[in-house]
Amino acid sequence: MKKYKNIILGLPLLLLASCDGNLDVTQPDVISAEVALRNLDDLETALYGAYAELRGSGLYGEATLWLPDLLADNLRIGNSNGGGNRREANWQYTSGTDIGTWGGSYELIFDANTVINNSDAFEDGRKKNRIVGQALALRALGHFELLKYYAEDYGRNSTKLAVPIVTLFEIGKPARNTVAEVYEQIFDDLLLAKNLLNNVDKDPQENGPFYFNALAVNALLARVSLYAGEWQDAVNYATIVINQSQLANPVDYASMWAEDTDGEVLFAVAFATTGDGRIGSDLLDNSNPSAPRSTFTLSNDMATLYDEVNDIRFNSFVLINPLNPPGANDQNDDVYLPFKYPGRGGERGLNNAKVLRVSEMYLIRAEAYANISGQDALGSADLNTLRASRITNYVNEDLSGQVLKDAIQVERRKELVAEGHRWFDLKRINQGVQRGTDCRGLTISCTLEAGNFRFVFPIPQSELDANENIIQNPGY
Amino acid sequence: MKNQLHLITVLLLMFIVQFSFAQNMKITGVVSDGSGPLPGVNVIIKGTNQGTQTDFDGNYSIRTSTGDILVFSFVGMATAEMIVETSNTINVTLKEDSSKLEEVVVVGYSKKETKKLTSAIATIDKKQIENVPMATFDQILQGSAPGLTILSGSGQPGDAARVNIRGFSSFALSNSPLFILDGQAIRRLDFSGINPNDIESVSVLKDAAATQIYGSRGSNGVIVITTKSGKQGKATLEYRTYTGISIAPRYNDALRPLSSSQLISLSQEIGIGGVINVGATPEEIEELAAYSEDWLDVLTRDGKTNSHEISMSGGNENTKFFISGSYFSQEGIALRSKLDRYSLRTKIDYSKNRFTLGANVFLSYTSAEDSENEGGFSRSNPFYASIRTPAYDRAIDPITGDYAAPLDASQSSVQNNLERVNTNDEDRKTKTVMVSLSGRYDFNFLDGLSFNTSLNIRNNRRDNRTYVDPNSVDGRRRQGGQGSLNLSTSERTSFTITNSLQYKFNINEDHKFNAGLYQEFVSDNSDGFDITTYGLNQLTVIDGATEGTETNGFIPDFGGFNSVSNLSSYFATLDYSYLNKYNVTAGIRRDGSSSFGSNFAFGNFYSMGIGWLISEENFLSSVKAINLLKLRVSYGTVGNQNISDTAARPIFTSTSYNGLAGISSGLSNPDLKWEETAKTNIGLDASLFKNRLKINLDVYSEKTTDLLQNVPISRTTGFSSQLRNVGSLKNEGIELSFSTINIDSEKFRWESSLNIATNETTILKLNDGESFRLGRFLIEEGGSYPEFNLVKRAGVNSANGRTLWYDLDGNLTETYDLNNRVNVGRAAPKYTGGFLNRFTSGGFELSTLFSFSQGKNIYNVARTSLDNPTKISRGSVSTNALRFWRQPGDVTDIPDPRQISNYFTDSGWLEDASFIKLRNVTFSYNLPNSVLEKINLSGMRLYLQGQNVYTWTTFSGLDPENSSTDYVADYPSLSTYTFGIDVKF
Repeated sequence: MKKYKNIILGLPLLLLASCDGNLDVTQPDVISAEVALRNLDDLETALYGAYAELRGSGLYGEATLWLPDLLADNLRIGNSNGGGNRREANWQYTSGTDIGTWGGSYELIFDANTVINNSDAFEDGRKKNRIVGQALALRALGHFELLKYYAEDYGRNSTKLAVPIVTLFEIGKPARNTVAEVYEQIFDDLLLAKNLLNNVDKDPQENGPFYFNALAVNALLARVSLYAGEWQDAVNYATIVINQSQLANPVDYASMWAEDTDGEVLFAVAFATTGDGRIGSDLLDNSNPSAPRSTFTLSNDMATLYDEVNDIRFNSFVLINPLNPPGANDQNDDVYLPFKYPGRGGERGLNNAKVLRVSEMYLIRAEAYANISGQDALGSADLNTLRASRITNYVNEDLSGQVLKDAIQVERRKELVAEGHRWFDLKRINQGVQRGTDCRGLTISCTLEAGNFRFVFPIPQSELDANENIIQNPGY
Repeated sequence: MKNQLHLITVLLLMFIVQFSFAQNMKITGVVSDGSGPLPGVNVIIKGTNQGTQTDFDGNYSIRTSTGDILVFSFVGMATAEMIVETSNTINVTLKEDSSKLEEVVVVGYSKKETKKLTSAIATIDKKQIENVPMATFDQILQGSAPGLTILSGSGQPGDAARVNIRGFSSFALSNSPLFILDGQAIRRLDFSGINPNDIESVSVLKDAAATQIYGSRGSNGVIVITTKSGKQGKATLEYRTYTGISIAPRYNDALRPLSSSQLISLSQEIGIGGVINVGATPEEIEELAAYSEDWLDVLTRDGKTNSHEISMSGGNENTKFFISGSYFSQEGIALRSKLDRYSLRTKIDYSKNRFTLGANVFLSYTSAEDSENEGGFSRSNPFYASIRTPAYDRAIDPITGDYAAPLDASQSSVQNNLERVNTNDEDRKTKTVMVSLSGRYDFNFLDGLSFNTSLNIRNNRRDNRTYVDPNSVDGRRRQGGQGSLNLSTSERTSFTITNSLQYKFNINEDHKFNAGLYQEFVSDNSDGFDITTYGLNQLTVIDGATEGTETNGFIPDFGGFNSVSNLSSYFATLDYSYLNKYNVTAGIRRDGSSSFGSNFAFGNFYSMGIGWLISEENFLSSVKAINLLKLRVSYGTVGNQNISDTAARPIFTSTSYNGLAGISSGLSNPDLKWEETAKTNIGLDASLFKNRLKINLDVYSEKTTDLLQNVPISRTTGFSSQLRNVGSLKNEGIELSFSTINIDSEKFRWESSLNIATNETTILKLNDGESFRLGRFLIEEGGSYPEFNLVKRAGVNSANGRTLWYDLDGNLTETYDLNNRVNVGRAAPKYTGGFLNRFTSGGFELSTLFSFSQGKNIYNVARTSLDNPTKISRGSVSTNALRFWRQPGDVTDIPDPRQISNYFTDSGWLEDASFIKLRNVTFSYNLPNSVLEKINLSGMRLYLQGQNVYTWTTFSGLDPENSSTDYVADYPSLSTYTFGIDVKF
């Protein structure tokens, strides 16, 4: 009896001794920061953490993929749209309408900075070059996506406001840098990335075009140079890419869209499983193939640009609504449905987001030539090369001057629809939006004149509320 | 841990040993209480420790000698002494003890005499609980105590109410009180497993003197639930049953669906909608317009409720037991929603010599099915779908009898909702095991000193299953296009170990002391996993899934979590009473939490309370009208430590990219400190006019410092917010309750009680005075909280049909500008309370309970869609949409649909959610003793009850009693009518 009594009394004393030590708990399902980045392999996982940010809805999940087409004249609100993106499509956005690019890009930049700024601890070498080079490219891409939506203009030396440059983590209230400063940072990062990636232990694209290698960095340099109006640089970078790669032939081209084969893709954001998102389903819900739901449709203006018979792009990008073939139902004009991302392996809407392709390099070079005096013929030749590989029985044209420039923009629409270009192209070349007969139904705003303040997106109110050093864009 | 369990079990067995004694004369007899035999009466030979107990029929037999005195004692009865003479038979009738037991109330970790309380505590006793059968006990609290706001929030059977005591003391952390069931913390999720009739009492601890003993967990108040124990005496057996029905809801005029013809003419007018999309012919349109489906009627039902419960209790001087078993089943009003509960509770208390041991074992199993997407802005939420589904879409095809297809197949994600509900499943099974073992030892070397220990283990396992039919529209949308089956399991195990030394002593009769020294350790471990499989065949179990390959899309998804949190505490209490007139309580507690960074892992909390029984003073003894008058004052500090386990520790989380593992850094704050609330409470308790009028008044002020908040930070950091200690706020309020006995005659008795409370929350100070936004609220120094801060809508410009807002100067503008946000209304009620009346006559009793809430506004999110005519592009809308502006001069609140895309967030969607509810009406009849004797029962009660009978409100949704500040067609609380019988054998 007494023995048990003693044990009972002894129990709490045992517990007393052991409790406080239990306050330092290691949570089993997260990684403590102290042990997260011990070697280059760890740094590489942090790099893939950064890549994963690209799938966000503020980036290639939505806002930098097809939203720019909806904002302009390539896509429009479909008749069965339940409410999604109507405010953007009708230019009724306010600072409270956050498309997610602001937050999403800075998350990407933060993750890229984690890689770059923790790399000093490790020995230099080709493996480190491969990791840090990609992180620099991602940081540049992040700043560029921000510049596209939020900068007041795109001039290379513009002192207008762009976005804060972030290269170090700090909980602060940074003010907006100028457009010129942001370009400076982007070019610095890309050039350094290119150098590092030219000297690596293995090609980052070993397992597919889902990572930045030197060629993809060149392609991005070409695009940024085009935005900056650095025509000769654009020509040079595009030429490097064109010389090292090929336009997809018609067979490869079709399977590149339908089945995500590599084709002419220079860089794509991987959507590996449906858990990562279905970029195509947001555009077109085709779960009932006999009655697809037209959340968004291609504008008639856009769809009728194609030569339906000879242009492979019509068949690859456009689905004729089986419920409403042309002329069947006068009241319902949901005829041309955006089908650029039909889903690979029969998995509806599951496709990788193509960010950089060889076709775009031809279009960039053509446009750059067209802007350098005396180079129109070269520009026209690039345009012909591209068209010839897309259109059967294509007959070369010899274009020049404004006609050439206009033709290039039309070609960009046809080639790059739903890849996130049109809105920025219009802003870049200072043209307005004319929706014409596509302005009907749920599309209630018809024209936006060139240079309208709506071309520059409002900085999200949440940023203004948290950071008084940010100056809102004019008009909001 | 396992060893300790073993040990205590062995000990329990050890003590159940009987002793016997031999004497020279055998006395037998029967002990009764006048109405029948009394089992469990102690029969002791005076001056010895020899004795026995009466058996179930009241018989005893004992060996003794002539001249001995037998002492018969029983709880609640006056002790009787009989001298043993020559007769071998001694029958005794015990009388009820006239000196009443002091009323006691359960406070944290102990019980106290009500008179000596120094703190603000409200109690709900078992009579209130037993008389009001409900699915879960939290619903019974509604309207029953001042300062306690209970919002049922959802009618989903078994869903726990949101409970709030005395306003909001935190932005980022939960404002829900701590719930303690028999010594261990439980969560809201656990409520549905508890049989309300197992509860003996519920104590609501409000001020610091009451809650401080819970230290870092006490800032939102504490609700202490004590389950029933066996009582010494006659064993009782009770059976209770009830059956009832919950009535399907109807829409009110403020928000109702369009009829088919209304929808069709709206479509034709604005050129949008299903009939346009499909190009319906005039003949087809005529046919469609002729029939309107009532989708609310289709998707809801009158739900049935059934309950059966058996309980046994009894005991003798040494051993007491309580056993109950129950089955409860309730159907919700939304199709598919239901709860089945099975519970078993066994409680045994044993005491012998200086040891007291208790074992409390509770098992419950619940199986619930949920209504899909409850309160979601989704077409699968039946209360939203019932307006959004076009009335011309039938549920059942009248010719084929099959589910009818919607008219516009291109709106294909909008499956026939009836089909969706009937072919898909979402069910949830919860198993709970709670075991408490407790021991007490009274030391022999010092009177009044005892050691107490309790070990509580709770294991809770939840299994969820979500099945999406491969043939359904939703099933085609899943990965691989052939449905999906999701199984998830989560398990949570907590240990609570409490040890204490208690010392009770007096210094002459004037000074009474009670001191306690405690040590406690609480550990919580949760883990879980889930898997979603695809490619289902006919089977609705995981075997029906197809193995995934590279090409078929059926690769399963999986996930999981595991987290641990520990709390280690030491605390001490002291109660002192002088002449029973002046009572002082004091406490101190030190808590260490694993959730905080090492910089601030520990927090100290203390309290003091003083109670002065003025009515015991000589100068009041001559005032006959005053039976009791007490003044209470208390002050103390409590904390809130319930932050995420990783908020204070730098971590990386995992992700993946293209099949490669990735990691991403989180944002932590190692400098996080505990929120601390300093509570001041002044209370007055009075009982007047022969206790016919009782008044309780409490006035409080609670200041919370080091408020935790996810402060919005510049997104350029890569994060949107960081958890920080941001400032301080204050809650001030008054709680008042009156209880009266209005009529008290032999034949008729009428009692009333009214309670009312008001609370104001004010932001005192913010770091650097910087205001910030929290959802729809603006947090600024000096501001009240929570208060909607929105752009103020002025209406619709009758000249052009555009929405008009006010700018900051009060001028009208057509520009929606977030810089024009102003405070437009409270999001918390100003006054809450309840009003109870009870009428008794003979065996009949009628009681009515009203509860009310005044001053809260709700942001009606549902109407931002339901009132928008252009939303008929996919479905239907409410009749409000018909009022849209058509031509200059139209005065209306719905703007021109040809000029707006989506509605903006503004004050126009704010609605006054004040209400008065007839919460409960019960009419019951207790059979008289004369009848009971004939049918051999000791009690029988029959009753009819209505719950949530009627609501007076101007709110347009189905139920203003919404737990959130937003309304998205939430599941309304159930309006239930029951008939029940309680039988005591």
